[in-house]
Amino acid sequence: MSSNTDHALLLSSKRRQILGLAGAGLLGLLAPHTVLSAPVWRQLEAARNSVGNATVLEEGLHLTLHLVAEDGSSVPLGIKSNALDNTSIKRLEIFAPANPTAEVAVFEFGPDIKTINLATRIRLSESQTVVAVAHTEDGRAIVAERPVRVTVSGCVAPAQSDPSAEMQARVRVPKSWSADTPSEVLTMISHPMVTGLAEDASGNRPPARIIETFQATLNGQPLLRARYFRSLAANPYLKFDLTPSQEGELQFQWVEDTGRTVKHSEPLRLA
Amino acid sequence: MSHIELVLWAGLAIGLVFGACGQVTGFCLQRGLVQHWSDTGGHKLQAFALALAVALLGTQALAYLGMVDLGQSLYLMPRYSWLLLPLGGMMFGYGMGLANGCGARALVLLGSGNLRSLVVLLCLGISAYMTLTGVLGPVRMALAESTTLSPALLTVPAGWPRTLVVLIAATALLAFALRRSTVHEVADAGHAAAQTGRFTDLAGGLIIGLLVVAGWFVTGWLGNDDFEPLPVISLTFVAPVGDVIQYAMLATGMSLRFGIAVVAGVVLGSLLLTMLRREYRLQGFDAPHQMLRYILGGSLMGAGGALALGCSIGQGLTGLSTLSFSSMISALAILAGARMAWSHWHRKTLQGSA
Repeated sequence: MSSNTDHALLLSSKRRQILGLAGAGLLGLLAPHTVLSAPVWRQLEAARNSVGNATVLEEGLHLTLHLVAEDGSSVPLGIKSNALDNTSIKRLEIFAPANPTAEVAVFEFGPDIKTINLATRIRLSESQTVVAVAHTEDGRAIVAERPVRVTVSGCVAPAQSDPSAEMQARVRVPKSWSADTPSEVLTMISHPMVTGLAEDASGNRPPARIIETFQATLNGQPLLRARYFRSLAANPYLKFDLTPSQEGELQFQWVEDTGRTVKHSEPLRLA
Repeated sequence: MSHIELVLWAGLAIGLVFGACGQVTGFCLQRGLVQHWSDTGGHKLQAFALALAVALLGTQALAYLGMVDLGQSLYLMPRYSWLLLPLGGMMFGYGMGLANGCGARALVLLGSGNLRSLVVLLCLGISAYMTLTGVLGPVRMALAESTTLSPALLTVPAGWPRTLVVLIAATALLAFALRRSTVHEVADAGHAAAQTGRFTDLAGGLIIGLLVVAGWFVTGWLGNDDFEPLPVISLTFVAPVGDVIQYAMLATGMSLRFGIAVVAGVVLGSLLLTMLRREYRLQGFDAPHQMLRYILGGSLMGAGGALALGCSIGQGLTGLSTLSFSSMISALAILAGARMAWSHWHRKTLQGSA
């Protein structure tokens, strides 16, 4: 009899233990994701330096990134600001902390970029958490992170490119624009963005050669200035929203790290 | 509508036609091979040959007109493994023999209420992604790296050689396709599906062949965009089956693809036709060892198809339509694997139903 009672007591305490663990696990699942995992950006020196002493916000910037990228050489990345108080973002930095070069791109925005809605493609060497740091006009830093699993490293895949087809710019803009309404601008330049880490067919390792800067201006006024790094995918692609305040001429300029420059212009007509 | 949305809707439409056609005509390479090797009559292999001839002519025409750049496709990648392609092909063919039909056939059967196909498809999809990006991924990549081939010639050189090869191949395939089977079709004991006539079989082949061409057109031309390029692909049923399972589980971190839309369409198209013809019937396994056989078949098809970069449709029709040499390797290996399964399980394959 007593053994039965002991048995029952043992069961009941074990049951309580299991219930307790299950309850804690369930709470853990329900808790917001950011509470569970320590922010990755704090472990990256470049991101910490970028943030500096600014007040850090963890809401207001949204990254769109697939959870699994089979091919790390060209991973689509979207960055959108969804701040409710329309804090104007002046500077945006993207990091891939586990890449040989953690910096992916740095953007600086002029007054006509009122909404941040960027799309680009990046290179990822391995599974990691992509980090974005946005600096607002009033000196605060908004941080966003998103983890991604990468199957095949994007940094060592040999680029297949035709040297004669390089440095060709492509731009798509709306035919007519409405003042004070954001419209999409798509820009791309054909370029292999050689990392210097990939071996070509004959076993040689071509030295790094990338598009270093991209600039968009409207009637000479800067709209967007970008610094590209080798962690950006080949054929650098950038889509952004532009809210024009005046008509005129849009000018785009890409500069390779060797100094080669490509320019392209499109007219901007307000409806 | 963005080009991406257009491609997805078109993929769904292609899938619907494939599913409906598959349900009505019973298009199936495995059935055709068994009919041919067991000499039981029927025209399913002729139908497959017709599908290949149509796919080849149509695809090469699109490429010739410059509407689709086949060089962007998976089948014309400059590097591939001389080990994994034939190994995967044989695994796939053997699995297809075990499961009495490939992934595409399983999708069509699923639409008609066949739960055996559900088991095959789940095993296929999961084992495919196990091999691509899962626990078997590193093994696959290590083997691929040590057995890579970078051949100078990926396909028949453009110009007169290619035109000649296309015409000769298409003529030979059509000649075979229009051959009448002299053996009167024997009703398989215990075989559930109705026998289809020669006209129905060939009509099925024609439609499936046209769908392969449609797939290239949709992804290669309709979906063509410099800024946000989409992979140039057509019908294939290994990775897309896995994609559907993954998408169901990871939709918050994954976007829809052409393959997913096609797979969904095939099941829906088959389901619609089955309901219209009042042929919906839940079917399951008769015995545990049959279930095990189908599980093995599905798993071999998934892993093999991942290694061979395609299946009976993916390489046998779509890949061969590009005239790629690597596709010829995969396709022949699939036939070899199917033949091995047929000779091991000959009697059982004849009597068993899919």
